[in-house]
Amino acid sequence: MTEGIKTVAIVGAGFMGSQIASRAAVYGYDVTVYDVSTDQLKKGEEMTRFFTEGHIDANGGDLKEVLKSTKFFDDLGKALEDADLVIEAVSEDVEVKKKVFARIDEKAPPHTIIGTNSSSLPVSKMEDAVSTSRKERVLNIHFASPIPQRNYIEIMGGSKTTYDVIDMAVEWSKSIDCIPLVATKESMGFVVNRVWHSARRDALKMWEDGIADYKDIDRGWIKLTGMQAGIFGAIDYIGVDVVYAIEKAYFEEKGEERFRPPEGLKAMVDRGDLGMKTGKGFYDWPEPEFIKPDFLDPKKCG
Amino acid sequence: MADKIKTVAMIGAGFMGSQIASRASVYGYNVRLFDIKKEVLEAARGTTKYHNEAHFTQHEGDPTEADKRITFHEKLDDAVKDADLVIEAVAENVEVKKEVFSEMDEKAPPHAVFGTNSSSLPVSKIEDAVERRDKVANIHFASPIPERYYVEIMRGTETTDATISAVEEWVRSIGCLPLTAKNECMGFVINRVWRAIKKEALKIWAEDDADIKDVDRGWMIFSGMAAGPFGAMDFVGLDVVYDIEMAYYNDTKNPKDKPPVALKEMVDRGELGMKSGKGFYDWSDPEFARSGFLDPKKK
Repeated sequence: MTEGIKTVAIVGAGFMGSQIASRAAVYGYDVTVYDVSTDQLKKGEEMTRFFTEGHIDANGGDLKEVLKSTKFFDDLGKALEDADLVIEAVSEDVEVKKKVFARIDEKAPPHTIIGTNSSSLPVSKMEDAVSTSRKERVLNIHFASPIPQRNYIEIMGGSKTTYDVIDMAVEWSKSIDCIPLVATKESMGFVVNRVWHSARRDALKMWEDGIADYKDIDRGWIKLTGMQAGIFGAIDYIGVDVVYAIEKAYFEEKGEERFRPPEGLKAMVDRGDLGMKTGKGFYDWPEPEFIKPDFLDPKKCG
Repeated sequence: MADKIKTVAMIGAGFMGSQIASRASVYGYNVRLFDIKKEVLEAARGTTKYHNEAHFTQHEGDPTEADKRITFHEKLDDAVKDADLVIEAVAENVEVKKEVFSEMDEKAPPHAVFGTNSSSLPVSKIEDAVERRDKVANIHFASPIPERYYVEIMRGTETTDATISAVEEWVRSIGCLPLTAKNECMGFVINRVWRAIKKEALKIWAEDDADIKDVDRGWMIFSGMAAGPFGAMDFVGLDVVYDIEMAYYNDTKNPKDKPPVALKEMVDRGELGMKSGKGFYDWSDPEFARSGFLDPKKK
């Protein structure tokens, strides 16, 4: 256990919020979870339990105890009153996150560290929503998914974050068996997310420019890396809307034409072809072509 | 048309040349291997045998039959004189490749298709050296071929559809996935995506945005690959990495595509990665390959 951090609050009981809550709980932290929607809070409780059961099946532990120390609140104040660390995992929208940061700042104790799980927004874009003293205690704490397989956390300070706070986040990361990857200065995409983004950016450009069949790009990616899905398969998995939002965030940050997301991607979002969650994106779900053996069979593919 | 390809000539018997020669031989092709350096050609006798044996540990068949299909030649003429397909895998240098293509053009039968295994040079930069511009293509293999059994294919400015089809068919016939670029672009189909990754990683390093070991840790966990971008660059050779980056830069002339000065300095110092013992990692015992590299507690 990290000295100083005993209780972790998660704001946003979605897919990532639930994973993070579960991870902290199975590694011995008292966890509180809040969501603005009671419906989502309920779903979050089920998801968190699912992840916790999975961890305990694989690693052992006392399920009852862990579930007892994971509490769900529909009142933000109650969720935050004892929190030493709060991680926000709400929608990937800077205005929404700023409002959430402001509310957390109001209700959490003065010593509490506030982290954002944003995949793209540097915390410096949210820090103006909190008090001067709190600015030293905000940071990016970005998890990958699924946490058991991708046990690393990308950590990045805002413009006023102290080294002590970064160190606490680093130690906390290790205490939940995740490798801390620290961005030494502010960079869009932190440490490894930006590397993945660069690959995705290039693949999307190729698709946009009609240079290659996106399925061929995926074939190449799968064989090059050994991963289960290619870049376009991964976009479908994450959600075309989510990826579009992330690509837009990079474009808005960098201001360079080459970062503009393809029109075709926006068109997919507008049509509702969001990938796995809607049954159609670059592939048809739940049985996308790339999981079938023929996809990689030189005699049968293409 | 792949049924018309029976004999493949391989120009350059180095790391990739010997892999490609082996692949063609185990799938039934006669292979004529040539290298300008005798010692490289001799070494290829051993490496092709090794690759053939490895192939038949996973597949039915007799490696010695495949071995017999490969002949070794000290003269380019002998290697290409009855070839239906000639693949060049010499140094990553446009002038050298043009010279080699020119010689191939003189000495190979008129129907033979020419491919370049270049990782970065579009064949359009080499095609001026030959008459048979309708029959040239990029035919780019990845390594190691058994795991990364895809071949990136790209046309030159005058390459016919028939040539591309023939190449695609031949690629399938050696158990590889043809990934064809519809229009010319640096890096073909997947090679350029990998290059985007390298470029971003090098930027992180040049601007000191993070510890390169953390970049590699993150990538290794994210992708499950055995090495991250820095480990992989060391493996390939930082001189090769530098040359490839320069090829992209020379293509776009965009300053953002220029490789970091610090990379050139490493190359000048002879820190080339695995082949020289030191690069981003110390190859006597590279840290990323040790157990514990990905253990949060050991960091």
